[in-house]
Amino acid sequence: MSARVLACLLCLAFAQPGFLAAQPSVEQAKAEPVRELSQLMAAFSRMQGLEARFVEEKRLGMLARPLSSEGRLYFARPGLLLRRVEQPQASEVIITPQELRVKDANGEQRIDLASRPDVRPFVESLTWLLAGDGKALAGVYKLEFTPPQAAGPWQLTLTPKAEPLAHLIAHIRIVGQGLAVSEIQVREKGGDETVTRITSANPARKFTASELSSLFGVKLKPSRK
Amino acid sequence: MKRTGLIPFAISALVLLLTALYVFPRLRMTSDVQLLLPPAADREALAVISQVADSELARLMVIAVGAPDRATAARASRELEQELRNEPRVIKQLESLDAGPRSGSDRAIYEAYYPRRLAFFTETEAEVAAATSDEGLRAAARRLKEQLAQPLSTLVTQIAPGDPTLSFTRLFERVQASQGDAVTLHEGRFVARDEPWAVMFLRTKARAFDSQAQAPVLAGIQDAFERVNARFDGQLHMKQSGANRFAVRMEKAISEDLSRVSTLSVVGLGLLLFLLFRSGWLLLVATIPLGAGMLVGLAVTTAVYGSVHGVTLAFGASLLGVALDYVEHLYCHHAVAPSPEGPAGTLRGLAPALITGAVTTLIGFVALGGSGFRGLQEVALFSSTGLIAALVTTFSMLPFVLPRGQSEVALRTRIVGWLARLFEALQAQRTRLWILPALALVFSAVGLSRAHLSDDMMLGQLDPALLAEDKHVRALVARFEESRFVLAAGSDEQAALKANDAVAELLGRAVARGELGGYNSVAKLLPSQAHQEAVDRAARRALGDGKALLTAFEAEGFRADAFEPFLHALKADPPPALEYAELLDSPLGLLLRSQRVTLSDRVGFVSMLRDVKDPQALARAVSAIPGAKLIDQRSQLKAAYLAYQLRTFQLLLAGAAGVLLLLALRYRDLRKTLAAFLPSVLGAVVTVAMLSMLGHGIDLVAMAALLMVISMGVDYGVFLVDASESKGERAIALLSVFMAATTTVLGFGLLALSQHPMLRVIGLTAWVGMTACALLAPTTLVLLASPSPSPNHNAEAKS
Repeated sequence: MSARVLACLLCLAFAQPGFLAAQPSVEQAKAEPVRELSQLMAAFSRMQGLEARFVEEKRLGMLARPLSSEGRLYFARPGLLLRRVEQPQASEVIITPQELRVKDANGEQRIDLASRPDVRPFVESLTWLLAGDGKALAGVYKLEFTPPQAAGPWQLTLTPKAEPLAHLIAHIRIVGQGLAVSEIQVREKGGDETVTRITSANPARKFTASELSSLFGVKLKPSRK
Repeated sequence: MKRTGLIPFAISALVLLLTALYVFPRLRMTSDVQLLLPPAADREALAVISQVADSELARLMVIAVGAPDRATAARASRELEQELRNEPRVIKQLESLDAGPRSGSDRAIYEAYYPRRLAFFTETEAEVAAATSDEGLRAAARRLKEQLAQPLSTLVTQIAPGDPTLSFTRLFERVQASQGDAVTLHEGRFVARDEPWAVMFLRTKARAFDSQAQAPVLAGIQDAFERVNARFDGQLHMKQSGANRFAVRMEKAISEDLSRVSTLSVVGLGLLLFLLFRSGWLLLVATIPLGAGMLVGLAVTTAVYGSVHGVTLAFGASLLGVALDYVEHLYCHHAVAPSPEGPAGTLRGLAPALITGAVTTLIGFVALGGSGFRGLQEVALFSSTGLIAALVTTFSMLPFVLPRGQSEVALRTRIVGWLARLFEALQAQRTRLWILPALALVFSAVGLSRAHLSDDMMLGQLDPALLAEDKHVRALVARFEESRFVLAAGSDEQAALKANDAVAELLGRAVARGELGGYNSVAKLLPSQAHQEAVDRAARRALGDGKALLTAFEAEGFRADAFEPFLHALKADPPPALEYAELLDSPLGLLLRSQRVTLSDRVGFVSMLRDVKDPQALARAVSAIPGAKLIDQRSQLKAAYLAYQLRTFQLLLAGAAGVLLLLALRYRDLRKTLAAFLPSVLGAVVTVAMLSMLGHGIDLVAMAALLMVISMGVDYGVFLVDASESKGERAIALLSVFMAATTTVLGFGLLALSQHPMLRVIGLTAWVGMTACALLAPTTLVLLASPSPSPNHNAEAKS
């Protein structure tokens, strides 16, 4: 169960909007040079909401061929995240500050995060990322930032420092250009790998109250215009 | 003048002292509701009901904390848990307190079940064939692939190499589902799914009905909550559910009732004695037979049953109030017409009437003991032994302590004069007195037309608010029926689990057909050893070396070498079957314990039900399984109560016949026998009519009280018959009847004001009955309107 929750959170944590496009527009963000991790972190905290399309490929040792899926990601403050898979089979994963909800054809499962002290730090790492709190993030992961070479992309590699995350995950690599994230790779200890590519993003997404309710299942005031 | 009776007094005092030394170290009061459950034809069903009432389930309290929203409720739950863990009164009896999931639950489930995944390959042995067919295996492969496509696939990739059909995942989901769907989690705390209530499960070490141990726990919980609520600015509210709350409430009610009845009775008696005799000493003397009766009653009851129920003490003490009548008769005769031989002489003169009265009352008590109803048997034993002790001490101790003579009291003299004139007038007008029984008969005819039996067990009447609160809290946490469940029993654990497997299969089919809304059975977590071995064997046989499985999975895009761990498990020896004891120490132990009951010589497992559409059909289907039975607590208890009502009614008739026989032997005159007897019977009939007109059904307890009304009420008739024979002492007899009726009616009237429902019914019935007997006593004179007394009668009058 712990592993199940962890895996889910990891996929979400590193496909979360701060990484995807912490800037007013993707094109502008790509143009802005990033030389330091602190520069990236500072940009993340400024974003209020986001909607992005993604394509995911899972390369699993059990399967002869990779599994592909695609869908959308939604992010709203404070820490609401929806990962909606549209193809080939619909499913949703929603994170709120209190719980994790997983919906698929078999029904819905809710996981109360406060009852999982083993998992909670990873949820909080989401908050650290959104807040641009590199210091807190560094408490859980070893951070390795590789600046871009010429016009190439930068890379941020996160390596879990301790169990139980270290038991499952070898590393997470985020690749981006300027302030825009283009790819997230999650490499598991067993050799399985998940690669998520961001195909388009709206980093200035505003959510109405009814959208907040229908997408995240919460009643909150809409984000500021 | 020399006092007599020192030796009997000293001997009696010594015996009472020794009795007291025996009683007080051993005296243990109880308010156990089980004593109020009747034994019945279906003893097993009632034994189960009784076991469940005393099981771990009964020691479980649910504490619900309501708040404006879930987040506040969760915070309050966290603070209350901390307060409770720091509250000494709670900690002393705390076995467990769960306000959120325990850490390590998942791990414990994994360790218990994953190695045995082949024993849980399917729910039943019959399902193995379909699951291991080519189509079944291809379907399993597709399911696995779907799971791997999910964001949570990392767990699946950990499990699937050793469990490609995901039987462990399905089992895990069954375990989760068996924990109920009414409670969910919010910020790590249990909360009601639909309302902003945090819920906590508190289990005590002490039995639920050990009210002495439970009272401090409840007080501690209340205080802890108030401290937390103060920190939340009073916006919280707490509701609780638990059998212990009823036990404590019952004991408190009995204690308050006893205290009020005894205090006011003593005040009333003291006032009466002061008005008629101007003596405080007589009040003190009057307590000797009463105290002796209580002491002996307590000693015998403790020796036989090991404890004394609160209801026994309250009801028995009221019944022992009849012992005061003996003292009052003695006082009246000794004050108005003392024997030259002193109190002992006066008492000797009264002996036939007193003994007749005592024996008629004893007949009632003995009949009550024949009911077979544990609660009434205890009352009968207490009262009859207490009454004998009271009568013996009246004769052995009172002559020594009573003053030889008493001063004249003007009021008493006037009352004696009035009563004498009243008696003369009534005798002169006795043909007109027919109006009394005639009115009583008309009233009875009207009232009896509304009479009905009541099968209400009264257990919920104590405090409707407490009951409503209990129901609300139960509804917050469980959606299973409270009073209906299926028992699967066997000579040992495995036999019971085997029966339970069959029950679960049947209930599963009933759910599929829509005949049942749902059920909760340990079979989902712990099938019998035979079941586990059968599934394991069938799965290994069907899967063989695993080639068919690999082929099916390869066809769905899997790599064959990914499932080496599963092939290895197929070749390995099966692990020993999972047993009850192994799970007891796991977080699942709490769940399992609450559904296991120990019968006298068997073990049973209980399945809780929801939305039973046709209970009778389900009962029939369940009873076809050896060892299984549908238990419907409410209807079975009602049936048992009705059966006991019939038996108690028969005892009522037998008791009345016994009293009649005794009177016939005493008077040897039909007219006098009937004159003494019929008013009390008429009083009992009027009581039934009155209770019916007041809307009360006649229940088991009321019937028992009616038996008492006849056996005690007949005393008035006896004294009036005797008074009519002996002109000189007629006024004295009337005075003593007047006193006895006053104190008896006062005592039962106070009992009728009890909070405890059983005491209230007893008190009301006896109060109406004894008042009716007193008012109808002049009927005796009507029936005595005989011109020529018999020779026996003359002899009796002289005696």
